[in-house]
Amino acid sequence: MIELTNIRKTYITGELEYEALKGIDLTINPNDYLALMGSSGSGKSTLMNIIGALDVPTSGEYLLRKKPIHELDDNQISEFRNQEIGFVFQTFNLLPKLSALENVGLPLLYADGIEKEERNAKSREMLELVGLGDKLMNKPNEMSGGQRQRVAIARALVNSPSLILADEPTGNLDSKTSESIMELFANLHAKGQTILLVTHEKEISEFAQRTIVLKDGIII
Amino acid sequence: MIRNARIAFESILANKFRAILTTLGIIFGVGAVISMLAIGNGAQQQILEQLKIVGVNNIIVKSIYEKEADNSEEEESDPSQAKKYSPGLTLKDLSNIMEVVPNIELITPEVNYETYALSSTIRKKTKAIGVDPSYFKIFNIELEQGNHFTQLQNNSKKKVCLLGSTLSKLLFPKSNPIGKTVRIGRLNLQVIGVIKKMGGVADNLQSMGINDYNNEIYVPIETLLSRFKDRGKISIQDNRNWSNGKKENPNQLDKIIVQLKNSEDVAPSGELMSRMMKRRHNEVVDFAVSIPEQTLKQQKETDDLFNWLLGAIASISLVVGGIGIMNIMLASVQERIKEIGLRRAVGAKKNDIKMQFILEASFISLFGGVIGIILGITLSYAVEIFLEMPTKISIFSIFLSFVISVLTGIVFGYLPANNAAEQNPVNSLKYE
Repeated sequence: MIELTNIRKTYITGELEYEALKGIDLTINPNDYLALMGSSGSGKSTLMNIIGALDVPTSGEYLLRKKPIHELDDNQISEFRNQEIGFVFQTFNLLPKLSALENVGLPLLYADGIEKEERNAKSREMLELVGLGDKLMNKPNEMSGGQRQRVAIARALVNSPSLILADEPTGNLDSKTSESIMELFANLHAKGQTILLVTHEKEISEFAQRTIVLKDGIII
Repeated sequence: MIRNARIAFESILANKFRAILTTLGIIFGVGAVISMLAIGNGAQQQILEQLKIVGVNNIIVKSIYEKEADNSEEEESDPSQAKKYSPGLTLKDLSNIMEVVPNIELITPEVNYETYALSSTIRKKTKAIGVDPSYFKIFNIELEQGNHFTQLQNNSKKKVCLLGSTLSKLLFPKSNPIGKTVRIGRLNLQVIGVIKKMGGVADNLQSMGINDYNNEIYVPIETLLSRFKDRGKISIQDNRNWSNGKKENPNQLDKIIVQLKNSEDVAPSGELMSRMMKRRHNEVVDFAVSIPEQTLKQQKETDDLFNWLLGAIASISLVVGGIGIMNIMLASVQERIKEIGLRRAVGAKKNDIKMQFILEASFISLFGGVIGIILGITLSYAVEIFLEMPTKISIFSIFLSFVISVLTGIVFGYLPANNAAEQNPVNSLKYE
């Protein structure tokens, strides 16, 4: 489904050049559950940002179903993120003034041709899927950390993306809550969802089918 | 567009308090512009109406006298003034003006008495004004009904009168006053006409020598001079003894009103009259020459300047309001960088973010503009009612401030919107 070929990323700050990714080759197949591991500075965030199309590679090829993503312009990339990628962040990144339902519906707001009723119906469905059917109108500050992350996961799922990108999704949660979140991911995977999990915790990576370890910008 | 409008609208609703604080600047700016312009326009309008009332090319000579008659102590304290004799304003002055001043179109003397007018049952305090028939031509006074009195009626001292519109309603609330009798002092006058109601004659006009047409009673001057209280032939000294009281004018005439043919003659003729009369009155300045039209035009120029100043100050407050919006929008972009990053991550295009912020700013300023317009109109009416200043709200000022407020939103919304959209989503998401 996703093919990365010889992806390189170089950051230039002033006269300093820093090569974060030094030629990454990676294939993600449908219904894969991958864990991307590595210490800080290993380039795993950079790789995740490139896969999530938040950032562009300096060189290399990024194909999604044979379509070259690295050649898209900014509007097309925005559409790509909207349609194909669901992000789950360590810090949840919910909008504090919006209810759970509105937060989940946010990607649909930027998708074309979806009316409010449909948006709300889908958002409600997703919240029920993650077990928050009774918290539709709650604001983020009225929910626990685990609940917030579930809202974020529902948001990632709402537009039926090809790939869920979870960046340290349990990093801000206690171990018991972490476990239930990981169970949720396992369930989603069982239903056919492709997931890329970025983590530095070995225990968490063990939930995945396959683990890729990144060190100094290369896969080892 | 509709989608972004909805996003912007929801975003404003989510931050109501901030939005309201932001609009305050625009509200007061727009309100100030509209009410200031309304006050300015009102003053303009009033002067234009007054110009109509005072007529063109008129010079008014008013006699000045001491209201407290014969105050000996005061005269002693100013002996130079007391020793000189002045005949006061008389019909002789009038004939002199007619001889000396060229290009006179019309001229009329005027006397007036504070008195009471009596219809069969009602008694009202009023002013009896004695004038020549040309008076009505000079001031373009039209009648509601009946006829003006004629020169013939004046010469033959006919006992007729014209009533001011308000006075006529007070004296004859139910019946037609034409043909009825009104009594002033011991004089019975037949009503032959009612003057058309005029817009209020303000105090400043009365001080220039214009009468309050609505509340007065107009009588041929010859009638009034010879039949009411005879001061046609007596000397000023006699007059002083005779009047024996307070307020009465010891002079024969109260005013002489001259209308000239050409407007360029007005100023020099006014000066000529001043010099001539001063000589005739033994250098005693017991008269005042005024050119109401000129005075009003000067007043208008001052007002114009003042209006510009008012408008400028109000505009500054509008600009300050706009800067306020820009500040808040910039600050809110800073505050919401993470939100922008997230919106980008879930699929918002750069354009979506720009539109969201531009529309947010536009909605806020539009809302502020509408409230400001309401405030401005309310303020204008309040000024009119409570300060009794005339105001006139112009459609132009509403349109102008509306456009300015919307433009403020778009212009001052664009800058931060552009900033917001150009943020790299990776950096935005990391922003704390």
